[in-house]
Amino acid sequence: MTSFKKYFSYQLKRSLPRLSTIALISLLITMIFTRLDLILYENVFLSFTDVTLALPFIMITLCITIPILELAPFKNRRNLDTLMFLPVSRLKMSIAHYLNGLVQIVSVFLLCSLYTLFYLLKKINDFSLILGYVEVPFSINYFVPYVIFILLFGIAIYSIYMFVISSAGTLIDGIAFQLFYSVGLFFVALAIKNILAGFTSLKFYNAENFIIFDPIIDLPYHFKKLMLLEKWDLTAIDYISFIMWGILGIASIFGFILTFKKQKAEKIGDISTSVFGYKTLIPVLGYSMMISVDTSLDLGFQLLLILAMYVGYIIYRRSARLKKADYICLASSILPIFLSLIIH
Amino acid sequence: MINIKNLSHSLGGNLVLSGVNLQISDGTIMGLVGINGAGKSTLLRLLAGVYFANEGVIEYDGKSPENEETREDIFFLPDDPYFTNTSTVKSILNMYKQFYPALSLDTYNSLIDTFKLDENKPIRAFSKGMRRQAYIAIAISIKPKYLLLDEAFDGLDPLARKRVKDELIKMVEENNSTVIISSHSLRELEDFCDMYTIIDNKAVSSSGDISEKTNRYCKFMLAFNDSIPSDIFNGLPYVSITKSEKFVTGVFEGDENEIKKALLKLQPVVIEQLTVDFEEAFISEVSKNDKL
Repeated sequence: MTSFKKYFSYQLKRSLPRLSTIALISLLITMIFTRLDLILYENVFLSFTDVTLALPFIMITLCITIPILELAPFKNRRNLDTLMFLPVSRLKMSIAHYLNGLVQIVSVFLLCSLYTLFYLLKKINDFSLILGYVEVPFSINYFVPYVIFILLFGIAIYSIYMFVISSAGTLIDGIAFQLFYSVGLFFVALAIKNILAGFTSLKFYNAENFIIFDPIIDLPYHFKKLMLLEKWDLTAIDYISFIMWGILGIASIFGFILTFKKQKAEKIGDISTSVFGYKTLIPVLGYSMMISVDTSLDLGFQLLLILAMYVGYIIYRRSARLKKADYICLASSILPIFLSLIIH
Repeated sequence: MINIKNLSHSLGGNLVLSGVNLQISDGTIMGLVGINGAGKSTLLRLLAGVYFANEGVIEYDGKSPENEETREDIFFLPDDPYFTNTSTVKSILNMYKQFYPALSLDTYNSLIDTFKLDENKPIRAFSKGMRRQAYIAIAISIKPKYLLLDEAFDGLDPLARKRVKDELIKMVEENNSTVIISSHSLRELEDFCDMYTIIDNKAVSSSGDISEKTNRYCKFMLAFNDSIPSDIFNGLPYVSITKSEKFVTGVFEGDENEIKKALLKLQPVVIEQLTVDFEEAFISEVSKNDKL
């Protein structure tokens, strides 16, 4: 057995208790969600979006938690001492952990999907026998691509989170980065949208498409429309955001492997100095939000944002003594605030 | 053979090791000695491939520890190994068994019996010494070509220490293994290490045969009828002095006969030569460099 197989099979075995627990909880949640229609519609109406809502919810939860659980051992110096000398290259280790997390996500999600599918098929059968109303003409032909789409977006989100957590020095920083990346692009998109609206008459997209979970959350509604209209009812920006998240997901796989491979064990526990971390996220998020807020109407909120950036830097540096670059970034807040005055 | 050339490494911007050069032959038990923060654990982590050196080279028979095949021959036991709430000795053994197929279950079972450890009990329920025993039992059972032990004797009772030493010596004799062991208990190292290395001021200040090291120093106790002046040993190559009203003990560096001749000129009532152990030699070495 090669070192990769040894390491991967060990990690897989080690994850089994965790996987069983997550699978059980997820299945319970799916069962509860699928039965919501009984409570909401007294068993006379079958809503595809309500019955299948558990699936995007479970996928999002898995995408958030699995990278944390999978990478937590690598954010602990003591654990690194017992892992990093093993006769397995870091490249193989990174791939093994990526795949291990992926196996957990895919297996739990498919289990819940299968349950949902059987439930839907049974209900549709029941509805054909009794007087009832099905929201949309349901077909297995729609359910399979629905599951595949959620899975693909889920894998993209999982990959992005694996990358951002691996860029962090501590698990807490990793979780903070997860949060930043979840909404980060939304605020940047919102700022760009506001700038465009301020200087041109262009209004061609919804910034909400750039919230990391948006493609998954919107899928039940897209599929509902697809079933009714028998064609996709997507805007150009929907397609753009789908492609963008896909590209980001693929890039994140390589980013994760590279970051993991280059990770210095001695830096674990130290402040997160990655360019993909606080260093970039604090000013980018801060400035984007400042641009999006109308300064003339809400100067207080702008000041609050500067304060939030300051707190962000304190968290980043783990000290109230900030670096010169941090103060420069804070002082530069005047520029997005000024820009906000012009565009709004 | 382990060959360390011009090894330098920084932690958090602080230079911890600078220009370390060392050669360790196969079949050697080497004691790694140094004051707290000297860089012993960092050196072991670099040797184990946990850290990658900022500068310099580490080679195991000409191969880097970053090489996967080289690492198959290395086992590193840190001073505070990680375990989860559910880890048992058996679960940890099973993990290492996958990566080190040469692991001897006979040796493991024998050591676990000697240490009277319940291999199915969670490690978190063990005392510090018991945890240490469990990990050492696994490390020795693996019989690696290169065994790196950080503060291995910390928390072990005298019986367990003796058993561990015996097993380490046996492992070296049978497999021509090389053991590098860091310890603060210098007396522990003296009776079973072949070689020592003192890490001081970020570099190797001294390295070599333990008996040669202790032979460099001699220790004399002198008694006088009158009170002893504070500058009694001035002009002599002493490295430490312990003085009461009429007794004085000194550790000296140099030829013991020459030093004894010089001491006799002080006309003591009694002069007696005492044995210098490795710990005294180490303290003398470090004191000489004003590190204590």
